[in-house]
Amino acid sequence: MAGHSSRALVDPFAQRLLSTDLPGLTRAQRDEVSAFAVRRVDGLPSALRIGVTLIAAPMRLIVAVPGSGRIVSWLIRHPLPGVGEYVRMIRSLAYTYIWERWPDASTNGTVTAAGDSR
Amino acid sequence: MSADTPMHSIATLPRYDAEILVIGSGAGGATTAALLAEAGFDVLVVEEGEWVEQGSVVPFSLEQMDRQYRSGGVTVALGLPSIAYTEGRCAGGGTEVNSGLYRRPPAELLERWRTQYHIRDLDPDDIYAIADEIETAINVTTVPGPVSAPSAVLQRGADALGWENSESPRWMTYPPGGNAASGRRQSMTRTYLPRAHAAGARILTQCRVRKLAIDSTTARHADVTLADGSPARIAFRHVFVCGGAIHTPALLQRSGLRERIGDTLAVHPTVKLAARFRDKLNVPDDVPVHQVKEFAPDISFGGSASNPGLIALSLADNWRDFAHAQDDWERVSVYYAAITSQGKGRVKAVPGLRDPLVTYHLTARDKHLLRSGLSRLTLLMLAAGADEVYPSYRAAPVIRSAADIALLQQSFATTKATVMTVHLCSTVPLGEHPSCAADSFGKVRGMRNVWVNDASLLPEAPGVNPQGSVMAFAVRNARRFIESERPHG
Repeated sequence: MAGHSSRALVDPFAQRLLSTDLPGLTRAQRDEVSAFAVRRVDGLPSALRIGVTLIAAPMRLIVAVPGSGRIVSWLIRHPLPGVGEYVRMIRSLAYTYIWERWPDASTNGTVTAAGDSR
Repeated sequence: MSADTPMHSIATLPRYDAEILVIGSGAGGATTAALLAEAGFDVLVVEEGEWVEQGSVVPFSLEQMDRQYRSGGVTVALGLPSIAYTEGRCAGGGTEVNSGLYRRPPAELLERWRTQYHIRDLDPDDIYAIADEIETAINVTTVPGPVSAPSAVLQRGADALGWENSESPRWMTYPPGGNAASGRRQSMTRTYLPRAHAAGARILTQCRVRKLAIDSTTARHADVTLADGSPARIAFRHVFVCGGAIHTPALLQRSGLRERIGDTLAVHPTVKLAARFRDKLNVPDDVPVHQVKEFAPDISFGGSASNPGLIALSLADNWRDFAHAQDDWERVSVYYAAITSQGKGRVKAVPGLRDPLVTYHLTARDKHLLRSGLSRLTLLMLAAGADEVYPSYRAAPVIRSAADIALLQQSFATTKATVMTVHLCSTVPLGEHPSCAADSFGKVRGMRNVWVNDASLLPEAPGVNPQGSVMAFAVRNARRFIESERPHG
């Protein structure tokens, strides 16, 4: 498992979650944050990664369905068992990364040039 | 890496075989290696992670998690709720990344362990004499001058409520005239690993032990994977497994040793909150040194790392209602309530998987204590002058007054909370009681030359920061080994 990136499974959902939660992030910033979340999922302990994959795969399918935006938004806001933990993990990773990388980002994710810590 | 770093790469290490193989270089492994090397044994330490010089990464940052934590810090014991935990994975193990707070094991706890688990020759006075030595070796000391502002919050709140609190000493050195911000951590890469190296021990980093080859009651060699991915074999006369409470039992199980191993994981579960104050107080790269022990050992309170990313993490479950605190992160700090759990967990190596499956089950009492702990911690924050308190669980209310705590008590459930721990113990408990997986000095039952000497041995989570207990038992057991296995010549 360790050799396969979970990017195809995780990135579309992470992008959708970030667009919903933090609309102030630019596309490039979302890409950067999502790439971080994918790296962390790739590094999960084996058993945990299998569990995450079992949840991420159907979530990926839902995200791919045209017009599923409302369903995905509902899933993001309503913590169903299992799915809720996946949402929580991606959100936790993303928020931790965003505010370490851009400590002065506004609460909708907008990063001013001065707030970019790089 | 400095010129005197006692780390060896594949190219410079002349040979792998050793009289004593120590697997893991944290609080247990480093002390074991130093004592055995100083007694004249030929010691090889293998460490799965890399050697990271202190100061080369920002404490509690994501970069540190990438380089010095297992799985980037994202590790979970599955259960209802699941419990997030972290483990060091670097030279020095957890001592490189933890808070550095130091507590001796309570004497009454040692006495209870001695009788309950039938631990031979466990004398609290002996353990405390060892603790004296350790405290000198790693320079256990208090902060010179005033403590940091987030630490003063704990002191102020507890004093206002009449609750017992104290500054926990740390393994730190401070320069002359130094202050709370100028401490230098005396972790294993600064203390026992250089001692081991000076006494002739070899240290091989980025070397993962896949399994021990066991012939009846004797382990013959270790099958390892080196930094370049190539396999190798390390022969030894004795092996000390010191990979921590998760990976020590997992390695033993992968090697065919399963009886009573990995079935009794014990942790200190914690729940957290963020609190906002009128004045700026945040210290992004350090943790508070005060702990509140009014309800110990059942419940203890302390402070957590609070850089902006970790504040966002603690607010994320209720971002819509809590996000405004992120704008004020310099006035916010994160605190925890930790409990002594009566629950138990398991570590199971699963064939075909690299990492073990870890589970943990909280009891009804544990869940009650977590609720009670979070409520009392909230009260403590208000007593210290917090404007607003943000408990870390889904649908938590913002707490602005003591009257609001009733809302917390009504709405809290552990299944909604982010339950975490950094203290993992007891997966290969020592003692002569039939439930114990190792004998009174850490030798694995039924084995002639396989020893455990890390947090796995503690029969229970001790209710205080466990690293002092881990080191004291490691020194005790290493000395007993030296007495019984004097090196030739």
